[in-house]
Amino acid sequence: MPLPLLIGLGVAAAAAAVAAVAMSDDNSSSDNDQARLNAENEEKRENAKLVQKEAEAKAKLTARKKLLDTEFLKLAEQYSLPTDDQTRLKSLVIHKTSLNRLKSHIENIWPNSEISKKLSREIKDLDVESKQLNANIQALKEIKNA
Amino acid sequence: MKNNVNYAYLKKELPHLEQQINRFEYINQRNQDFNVVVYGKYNHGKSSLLNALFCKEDHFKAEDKRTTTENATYVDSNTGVAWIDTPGLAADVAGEDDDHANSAVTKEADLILFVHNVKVGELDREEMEYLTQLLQLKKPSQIILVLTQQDQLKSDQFEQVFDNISQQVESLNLIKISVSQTRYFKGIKNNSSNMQQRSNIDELKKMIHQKLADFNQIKSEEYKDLQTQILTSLENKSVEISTKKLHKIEELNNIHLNFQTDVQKLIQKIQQQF
Repeated sequence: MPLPLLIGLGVAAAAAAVAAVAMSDDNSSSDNDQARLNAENEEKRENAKLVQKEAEAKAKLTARKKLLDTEFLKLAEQYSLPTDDQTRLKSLVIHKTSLNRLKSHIENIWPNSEISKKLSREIKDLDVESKQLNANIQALKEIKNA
Repeated sequence: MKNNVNYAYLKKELPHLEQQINRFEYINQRNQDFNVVVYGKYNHGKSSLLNALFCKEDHFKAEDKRTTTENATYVDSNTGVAWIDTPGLAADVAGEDDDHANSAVTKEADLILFVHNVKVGELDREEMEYLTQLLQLKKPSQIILVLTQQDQLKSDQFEQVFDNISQQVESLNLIKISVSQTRYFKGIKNNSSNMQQRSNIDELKKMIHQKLADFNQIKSEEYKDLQTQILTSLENKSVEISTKKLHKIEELNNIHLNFQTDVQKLIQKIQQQF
């Protein structure tokens, strides 16, 4: 084969090789960009989900607090409960695990309700009256024995 | 017989037994005198009857007008009898005289001489009411119906009135006697035992002395009756209070249970919001 042809072939091959290398470099960069983009998008989606979840959780909490407000006021009206401890009660609707504490907390308010206080006072008065009556009955019976 | 019974409390709790409680308190706190209360309408001869029983014509003021306005007591230390003259009933518009008389008769009397002047005829509606009310507090054996001024009627008239009165009080089981104070004092002045005897004052005295002899038994029976009456009412009241208390406890428990159920419902509603 004549030399010039050989040189020509060699140059062409080299050029082809250079071109191939150049092409290979372009592909790799594009992949990286895509992966980064994907990751960023994923993060954005995750963040969006998180924000949405937080918003939902906040909305649910607000709904629970509102529900507690409304329902507790109904109870308060029905049973004449004191309503000065609602902030504390609201703090117990944040977590599901606090609901039992919320329940016991509301039940602990019962002795301070006007209904409970009124009836307890009446029972106590009747008890005193009953004791006084029995003491006098006893005294009267003792005269009989004397 | 001293005791720790709170009489003010009893009267407050059992207002319908106020007179009985007053009497019971009086028996527990008094001395041992035998109280004879002379009771009846105005101008029926209560004070003059007492004078005859005392053989002293002017010991107790006796006039045709309203003279006795408060209870007058004379204690005969020889016999241990306390004689109590009361104002005439239905004479005072304000009713104060009646209050004095009723207080003496319900609280202090061991024996009541219920005086009626036969000159006015039968017992009237008010007198029948007084007698009926007295018998709600006293035993018939504690009352003697004394018909005064029998000398003021002719014998046939007197017999008629006496029969009528006997019929009126037949169901009340009262002892009755007719007397004449005027005849008694005349008998004393004229030294006529016959007149004195016909006045029946000595017979009445005998009756009173017999009651005095039976005093302890009468007193004991009356005491027991009063005690039982007050005790029964107190025990009924006690049952009533206990029942009321139980109802209140039940009411409180029921409301508390409802409250707990409502709280549970509230918790469930909140739970659904998670």
